[in-house]
Amino acid sequence: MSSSAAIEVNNLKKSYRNGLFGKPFVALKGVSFRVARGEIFGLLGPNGAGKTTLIKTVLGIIRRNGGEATLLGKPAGDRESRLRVGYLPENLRLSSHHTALTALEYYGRLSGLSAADVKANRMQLLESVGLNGHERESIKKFSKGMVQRLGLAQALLHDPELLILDEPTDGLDPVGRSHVRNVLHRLKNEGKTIFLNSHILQEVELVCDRVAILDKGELRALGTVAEIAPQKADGIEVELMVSGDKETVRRALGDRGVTHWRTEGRNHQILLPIPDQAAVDQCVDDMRRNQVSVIQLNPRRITLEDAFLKLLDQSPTPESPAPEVAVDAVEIIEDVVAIDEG
Amino acid sequence: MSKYLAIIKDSLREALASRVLWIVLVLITLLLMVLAPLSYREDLTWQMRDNDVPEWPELMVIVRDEAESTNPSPAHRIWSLLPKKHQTALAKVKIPGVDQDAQNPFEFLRVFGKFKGEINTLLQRRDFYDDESFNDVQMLSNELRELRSEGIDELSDQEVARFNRLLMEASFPERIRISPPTSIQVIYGWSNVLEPFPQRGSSIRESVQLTAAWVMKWFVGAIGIVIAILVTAPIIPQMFDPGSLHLLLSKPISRWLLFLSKFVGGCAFIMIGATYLIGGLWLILGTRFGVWDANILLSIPIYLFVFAIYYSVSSLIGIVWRSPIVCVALTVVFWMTCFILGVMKIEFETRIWNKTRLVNVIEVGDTFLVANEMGISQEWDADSRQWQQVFVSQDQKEARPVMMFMTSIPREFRPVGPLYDEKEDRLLSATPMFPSMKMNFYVGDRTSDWEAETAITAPSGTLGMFHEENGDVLVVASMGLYRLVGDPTKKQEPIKLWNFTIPLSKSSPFQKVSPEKPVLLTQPSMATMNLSNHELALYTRASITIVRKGDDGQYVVERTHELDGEERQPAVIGVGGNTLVVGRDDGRLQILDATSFELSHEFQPEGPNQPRFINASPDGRWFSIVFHNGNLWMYDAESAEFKKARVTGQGDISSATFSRDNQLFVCDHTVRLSRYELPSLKLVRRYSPKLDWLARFYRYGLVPLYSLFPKPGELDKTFQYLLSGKETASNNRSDMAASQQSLDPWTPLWSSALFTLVMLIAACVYIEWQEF
Repeated sequence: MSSSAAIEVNNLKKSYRNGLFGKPFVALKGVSFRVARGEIFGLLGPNGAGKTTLIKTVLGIIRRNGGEATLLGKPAGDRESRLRVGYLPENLRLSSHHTALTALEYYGRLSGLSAADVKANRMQLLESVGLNGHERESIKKFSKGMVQRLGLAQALLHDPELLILDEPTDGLDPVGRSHVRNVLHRLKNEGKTIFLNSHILQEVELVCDRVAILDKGELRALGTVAEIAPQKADGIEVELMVSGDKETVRRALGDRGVTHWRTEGRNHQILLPIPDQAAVDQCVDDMRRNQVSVIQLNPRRITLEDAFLKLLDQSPTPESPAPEVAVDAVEIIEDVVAIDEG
Repeated sequence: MSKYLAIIKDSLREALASRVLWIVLVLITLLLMVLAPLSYREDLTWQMRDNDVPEWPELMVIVRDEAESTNPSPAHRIWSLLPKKHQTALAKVKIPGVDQDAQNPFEFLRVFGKFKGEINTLLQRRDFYDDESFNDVQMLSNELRELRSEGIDELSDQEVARFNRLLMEASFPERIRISPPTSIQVIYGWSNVLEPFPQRGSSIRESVQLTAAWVMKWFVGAIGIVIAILVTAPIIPQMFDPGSLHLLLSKPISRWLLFLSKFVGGCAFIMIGATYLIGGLWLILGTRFGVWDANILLSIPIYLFVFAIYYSVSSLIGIVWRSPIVCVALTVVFWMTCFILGVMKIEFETRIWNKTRLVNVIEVGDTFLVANEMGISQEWDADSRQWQQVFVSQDQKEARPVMMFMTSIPREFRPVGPLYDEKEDRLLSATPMFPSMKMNFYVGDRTSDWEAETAITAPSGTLGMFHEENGDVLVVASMGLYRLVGDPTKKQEPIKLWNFTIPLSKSSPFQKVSPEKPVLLTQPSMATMNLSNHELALYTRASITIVRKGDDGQYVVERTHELDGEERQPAVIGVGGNTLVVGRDDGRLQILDATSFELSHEFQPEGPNQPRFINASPDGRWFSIVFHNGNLWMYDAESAEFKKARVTGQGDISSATFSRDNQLFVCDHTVRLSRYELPSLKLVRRYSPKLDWLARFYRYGLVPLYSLFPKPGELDKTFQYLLSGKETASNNRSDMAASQQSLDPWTPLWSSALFTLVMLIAACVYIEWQEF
């Protein structure tokens, strides 16, 4: 295995047993991938796909049953490599006796920093995650988003080479998510390696260089977002909003293959595949020629979500948690719109 | 290492953020504020307290009977100084147990209460003493003589009261207990609280040690531990909240050290409270009582250790179940199990098992009997390999249930004897009657299988029976020496004098052979016979008197020797040949020349542990000294060598006596007897009884179970040992022959430490291997 990789897993297997005589449950069924240094890597998958198990195995929190895993060139669980990793666990809970400052002092010391080093960095870090002004406040008074941001700060405190974030925006409000994304972008610019574990697809799509999709303990896809969600080779899909008589519109469209048609009064929303720009121009000309007003025309990309859902649909068992993912995806879009508008 | 210190620091921070801790600290502050005004003052002892007079009604009768007398006497003096009104009341009242027609106990109690008050008023009068009334009183006490020589007019009011109290003690030696020169008056703020209790100011340290051990056991050890368990129970389960555990486990730290740091942090949490409470108490004891005993602060680590035992269990439960409620519930169940097992074992040992311990061997012709702590004599039955009870008196049977309740049997309950009367081939013993505490004299003939029969009472305060040179039986009693000359099986009508039943008659079998000026043996006292020359050594009031049988059969005082130290000190003595061995209450053994009393050697082989029995071999060469901690030392008078005896059972030896042919009988392991040759100490024979159901229950049931569990409830004994240096605790400071409770200070420590270690290792292994 290459030592230059930040994380490398090869045929990684992990199974659990419920109780002493319980039936074993296979969480990872021979997963292999490699995270290069300096990239932002997203691990996608529905709940229960094995994402957190994979992270825990890589960090040495749990033992693997088979295969290999290295972290910053050292075997998984190696204490020296853990020293160079910043980790934000899923559903982070911090003891309520802490303030932001004491929590950073505690976790900073556990990460091998001296008290002086912690003191030198913590104010700046709190500011970077938007917690300035709350330094001496009891964590009891913190919202979930504030705790999550403090968790991110503790993961960054010792300036780790690799950042492993397990659902970092889970449960955050749009502002909180935006904060986290900004931090991730900044870290990316600084050349940090980030391993992002999320089931929120748009979030991953927005920040990740490469993505792996995990489902039921198996890797379903691995590559860049463009590789996983490629645009159709035979053209693009266009969303057309037009106004006019339905029969006239139909006439204007001719024999073009409409995939979706919704009518509200004289307005029509139509989806249709178009091979190239000339065909788009021709379509617009045909509309105008038949006195149909073109209100809007949007080219529509194939999203990661589409690819993800498609992959899950191909999975051997039908009960995929796709609806939940879809809802999350909608939320993300709304968030982005809200931020952009804000 | 700094990472783990950070975890401990975090636990402390968590402690300081805990509301419970602050509530506990406030409660401790309130307690310390309540205790801070407590102090004491050392006064001269003069007041008569309830238990200074064992039988107040008897004293009342003595005084009342002087009403008509014209002869001056101490009792008459008291009567004459009583107010008229009280004289009338005292003359009229019917005293239960004395006056046959006494029917109104309330009237008696009223007069009795008044009588006590009047006596204490009299003690403050400067005119209480007059030469005429107290002319016949033996002023044995140096303190009394010194005060009298100073002149009453020169004495302060308190000294006068003290002088009068000493006069009373000297006038009624059998009725009033000897008091120490000073008493402790407890003060709260500016006012006196409680009655003064007779104790020297210098011994307040010992009282403080005992109180500290008591507080340690019940207040801190029981209540404090339960509070601590409740407070700390959530610490470990909280750590296992997945949201915080995974972050901790991702850090470059060792899991088992993480757990141990959390464990130490929990202990540090408790240390804050314990240090504040015990440190505060220590400061109060130092500033208010003058007891600056740094050893008291040892209770902080001991308390922490006790807590650590329970916390190790709580932590293991916390790791496995990860629920504070389960932690508290199971730890409290564990605490109760330890407590119940500890109490069961100690109570069984103290009240039942230890009572069967052999403490004496009596040669009966060519065989022998053994006697246990309760004075029950037994003979060896070779067929059943058991000790079989013989010569058990009715009084012993009746007193047995009462003795079972006592942790240590006081002298008043212990029978004297049995003594084998070789001339008549019979066994003799003087057994206290319960509850009157007079003693019946029992005789058991060989022909009637040693069945104990009584017809007469023994001389009052009998404390020893010995053979004289010609085989006659000499009875040593507190009021004098008596020779058994008549038939003790013949019932005699006792003399009635002033409504008193005197256990003597003109035809009494006990012939008084006391020296002309009798030696009054007030407690603490003891008597022993030198079998080499048949001189009798008597110990009382820090004084050893050697008496010898004169030509006319009466005993004469040969010589006396005063021991250094206070009069009330107990001592054990053994005399043989020309050697006198004195065992002091501070653990010293003094070897003296029995004639000149010149000190030749002094040893303190067992530190402050007291010697219990000292016996001399008939030839006067060997002395066996059994200490309360169960160790046996031998002194060879010939070579002046003093050595720990090379016999089995050291540490659990309860008796070592000599046979007539100068062999050594050693009782150990409660009921085992071994006979050794001297000087080789070669085993001649061992009598090891077959285990009965009681012994089996103890050895194979209670002891293994008890050994398996830790002993946090007994660490107060370790603490008591660290304070006092003694391996045993005495309930009766004036009686060194009474059994003492073994503190066994190190067993609770190592067994609890081992248990805690096992728990912690189990928890460390679990956390290291378990997947979270």
